[in-house]
Amino acid sequence: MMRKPNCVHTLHFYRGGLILFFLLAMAVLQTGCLMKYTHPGGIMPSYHPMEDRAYEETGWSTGETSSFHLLWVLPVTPELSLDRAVKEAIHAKGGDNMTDIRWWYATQHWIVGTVCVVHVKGRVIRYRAED
Amino acid sequence: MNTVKKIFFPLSVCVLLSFTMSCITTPVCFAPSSTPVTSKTVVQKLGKTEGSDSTWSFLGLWMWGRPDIEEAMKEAIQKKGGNALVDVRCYRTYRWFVFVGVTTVNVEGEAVRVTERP
Repeated sequence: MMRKPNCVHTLHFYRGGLILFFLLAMAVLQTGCLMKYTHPGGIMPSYHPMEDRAYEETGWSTGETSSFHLLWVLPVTPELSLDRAVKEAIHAKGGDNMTDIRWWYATQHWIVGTVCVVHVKGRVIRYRAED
Repeated sequence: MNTVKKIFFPLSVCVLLSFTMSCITTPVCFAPSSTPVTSKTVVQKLGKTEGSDSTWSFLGLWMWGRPDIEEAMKEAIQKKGGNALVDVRCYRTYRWFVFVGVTTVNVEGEAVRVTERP
């Protein structure tokens, strides 16, 4: 019985790889999402320095801001702002400050451009009116 | 000649595979504490602790979920039975194995129990 030469096996291997690559590329183009990644940001004990006053917790809140770059380089919207995200989260609960802050940001590269989103989560507090 | 092929081929595959693996650690954050520690609070120190949370990505391009700092902190705090961390440091470790990347966030610090001063 004759054995197939090694180059035939190699050819089949490359053909299989090419088909797999083509299918993967098609799947990517169908969704339009070329890359999707989330980075851990950091933590902060509080947004503003804590005042020496009594306060009440209004609950956990989240905020986010995003930016979009057309064709991955041209800025269309204002840049990412952690400040805006925190303020949005505080405003949502009608508080004065935010404690126990965690933040992270996500990057998504699409065919038409890049979307970056910064997320903030923390505990909103409201200072009690002094008597 | 055949023996050389038998040894050389698997060896070269192993060497090539080893080139596709990597591990990078970068510092992410540091903070004095995870929650505000003021003059109105009492801090009981419980010892050094650490926690981590991981997620993976395909080809380093598409990540499923996210490496969650909060989960890593919860793990670190629960290990010592505290309710907060002080002297917090966070690191991100990225490991790459052939087609799959694993991103891990590590949180280190000292676990404490924070209570309101009576």
